[in-house]
Amino acid sequence: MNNDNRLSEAKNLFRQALQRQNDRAAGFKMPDDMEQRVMKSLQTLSDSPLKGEKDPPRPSLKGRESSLFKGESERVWGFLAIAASVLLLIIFNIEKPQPEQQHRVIAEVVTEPQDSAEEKMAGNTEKHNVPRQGTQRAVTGDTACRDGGHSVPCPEKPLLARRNKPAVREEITAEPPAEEAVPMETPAEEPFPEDRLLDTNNPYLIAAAQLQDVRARGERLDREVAMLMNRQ
Amino acid sequence: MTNGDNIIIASIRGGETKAFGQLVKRYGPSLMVFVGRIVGVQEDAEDVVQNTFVAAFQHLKDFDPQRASLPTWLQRIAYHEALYHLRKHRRQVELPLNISDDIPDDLPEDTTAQQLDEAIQQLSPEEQTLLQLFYYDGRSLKEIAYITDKAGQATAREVSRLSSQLFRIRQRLRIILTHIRNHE
Repeated sequence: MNNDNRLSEAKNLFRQALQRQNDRAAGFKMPDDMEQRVMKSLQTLSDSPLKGEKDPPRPSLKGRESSLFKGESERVWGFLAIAASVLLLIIFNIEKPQPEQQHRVIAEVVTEPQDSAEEKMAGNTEKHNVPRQGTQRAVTGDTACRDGGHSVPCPEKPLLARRNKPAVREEITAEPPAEEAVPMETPAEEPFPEDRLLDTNNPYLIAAAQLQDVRARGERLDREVAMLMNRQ
Repeated sequence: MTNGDNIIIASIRGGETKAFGQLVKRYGPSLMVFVGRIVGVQEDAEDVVQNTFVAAFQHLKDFDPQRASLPTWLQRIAYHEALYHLRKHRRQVELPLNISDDIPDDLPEDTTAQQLDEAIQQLSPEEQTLLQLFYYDGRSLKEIAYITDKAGQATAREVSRLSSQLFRIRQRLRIILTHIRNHE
């Protein structure tokens, strides 16, 4: 009961306080020409029917769009924009290649007879070191020369073999790590084999690679000089 | 909505634009007071009322007599027009008051109507209008929700939001009144 009285008193107090504000607002009289002002504003609409019907309102009245209804139309456009964005995302996602296709790397493998040393090296070669395979197998080509009875390895052979021999394309379809997604391309500058073989302990292989490297450098220099001469 | 309003609306929808003048005459004065409470300046109130009628004419097809009466629908447009007008002219000043839930929402004892009026003046236009509609006009929270919500949703959720907003306003008023009385 006491609580009700307090609430009632508070309501009365609010009414009294708000009465002052209402008294001030009651002094605001509608001007006599309000009807004319409104009708004049509507005059520009007189040729077009109500909004939402066949003819849209004139562009001059667009700026007078009520904030309330403007908000509603903005909300509708907002929803449409979001829906369109989601749709575009879905479309682009569908057009993306499948992950298996993306990771499929085509590696060139030179078909050479493999001896035990090659197998050993191939065994040591990890899957993700695909770019090394060509060189390592090229070196094993030298080993084949040695096995054939030559005391001096024939370094040109792997390089020539790599360039001239028909290559067998082998698809590596196992799931590689992300870095493996880079397709194998023959670089413009052939990297030198000894750089790749520093990790091996076989001195013969290192020496063979160095010799091959020297020859390759010589050939490359010759080619470059010849090209420069031709240009001049 | 009166039967006369129905006839006028039907004739406007039928293409008789001039009939709209009768609605302006009928509801213009009450709208001036309603808008005057929010904007507080005669010229601004006139502009807002004029824009309200133009918007009402443009969107008369959206008026649904099942949801609200014509004067309430006009007040809804006028309320948002008035707030838009105030925002445009940067007359809205928010009080940075930190309010925690443990502050009571009842007014301090011996508060006079004049002090309360002074405190109400420091509230935002939205808050003042909410007090006017609830305490002075005696409107229901559902009806207030229809007027103040942009989507015109008078849902239970909106009503609950308004109820908690009234609680916060009373808390703010208590803080402002304590501040006023300390400086007197």
